[in-house]
Amino acid sequence: MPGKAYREVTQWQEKEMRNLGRCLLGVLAVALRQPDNSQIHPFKRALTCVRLLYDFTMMAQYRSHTAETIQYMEDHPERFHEMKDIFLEFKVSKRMQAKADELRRELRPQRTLLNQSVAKSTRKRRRILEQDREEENDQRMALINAESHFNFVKMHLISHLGDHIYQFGNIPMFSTEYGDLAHKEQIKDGYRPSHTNNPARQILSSYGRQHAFRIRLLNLEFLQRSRADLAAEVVEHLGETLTAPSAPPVYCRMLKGHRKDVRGVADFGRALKVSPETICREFIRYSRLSLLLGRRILEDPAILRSLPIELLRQLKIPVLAFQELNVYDIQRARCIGDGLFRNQASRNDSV
Amino acid sequence: MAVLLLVLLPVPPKLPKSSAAEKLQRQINANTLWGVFELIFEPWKDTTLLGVPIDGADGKIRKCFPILSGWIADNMETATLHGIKSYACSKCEVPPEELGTGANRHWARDYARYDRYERENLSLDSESEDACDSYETLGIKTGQNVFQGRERVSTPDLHMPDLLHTIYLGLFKHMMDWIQGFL
Repeated sequence: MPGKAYREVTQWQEKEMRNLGRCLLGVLAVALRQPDNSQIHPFKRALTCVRLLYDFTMMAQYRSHTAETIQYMEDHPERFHEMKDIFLEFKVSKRMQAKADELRRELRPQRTLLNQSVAKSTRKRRRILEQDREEENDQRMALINAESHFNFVKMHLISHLGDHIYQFGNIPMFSTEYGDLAHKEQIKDGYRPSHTNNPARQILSSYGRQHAFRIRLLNLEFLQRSRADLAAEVVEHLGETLTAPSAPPVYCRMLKGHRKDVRGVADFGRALKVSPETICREFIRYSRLSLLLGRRILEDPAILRSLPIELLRQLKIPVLAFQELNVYDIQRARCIGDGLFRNQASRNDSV
Repeated sequence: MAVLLLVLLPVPPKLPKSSAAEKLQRQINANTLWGVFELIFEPWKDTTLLGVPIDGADGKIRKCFPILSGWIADNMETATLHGIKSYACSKCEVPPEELGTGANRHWARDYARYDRYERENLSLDSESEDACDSYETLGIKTGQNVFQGRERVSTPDLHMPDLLHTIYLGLFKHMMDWIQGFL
């Protein structure tokens, strides 16, 4: 969930853009949910276009492919090309915009001259002005339709992805992301502590040293794990630097967000703004419907009210990541009651 | 993937801006790039021709020949390295006005052919207008491909897809602009 409006961010990173893509389609579907009669068709086309492109990007991230998925990757752009006209009028380059503005600027003085001589009454003049404006708009649209196009190289490059998968395998393997990140880690972080005077050698040696240390530590860790004979100080040092050999994380549902001030039914009701009677009623209903016979709770409100109660507001649900066997995404289900999401006011920006 | 930092390459000196200096600057940049690639490919020449003996898993030693199969770079970098215009596709000869039509059945680029053209034009001793036009539509700058003439390198296959720049920061960004306009 992005914390800012789209236009507030000037520089996007890959991960941010990916997260944006996740909610984009849903948000757009909501924004276009109530079309007028005249809007049904364009809205539908716009949604389809976005969906096709987004599905395509999702499939480009797959780690393994079948002939079917590659076929999808080839069909989706094709169908997009059939539908893309809907966006043509917004695919206006800066040069086009300038051209249209210039045309208008040229025509305007001529028109004013012409109008002054023809129109005497204000009403007539206004009508002529309106006509002119419509004419201007028409001209602009004609110009845009004639000149705008989707001919940029990135639009074409996606048509090669299918072939590439046949030839080399999945696509995320070849991302420039690693190289771009390495630029920060290996060069910028090496440049900063250098004395900036002929820094190339310093950057290289600083990175080389760090790299050598890391490899050395990994080797020692491996030796220690395979119970080799290591000097006492080495073992001691390893004990300090070693990131404690973490047990493989357990993937089960976890409850979090414990509220300390809630101890009984009365507190519980106050925190959630529900009357204690309703809570007791719901408890009993739940126990009758979902619990086994021997484990049902006593259906006496007085006893129920005296029972200790905990209020937990968050459930962490591990979901197996797509095409992975041991990588989990943790989805968080939160109950915020009548509070605000992340304590932020609701936003009303369209994009 | 592991990325190892081996060398930092030189940055050509920057000249003050003027049209004459710009041409010179471009020449200097191209020469620097050429020199750097000569340096990088220096050990490549012998290994590709003679092969290197490598131990196999079955205990036998085999003569192996390295093949350069990919070069990970973004669009502008690829364009510079391949000596093509930034609007040209590095894999096929798609003309600029068909980039956005979904046509993907064009011939793959053939740099040997371009070189042949170039030589023919030189022997005629004048660059005819036809040749200039065809260079323009093909989007090539002749003689600037740093991979040309190297052994076991197929230049059009070097281009690797780049999800970060083509899709997330490219298409997605365009799409957001369209959607903003649409809304």
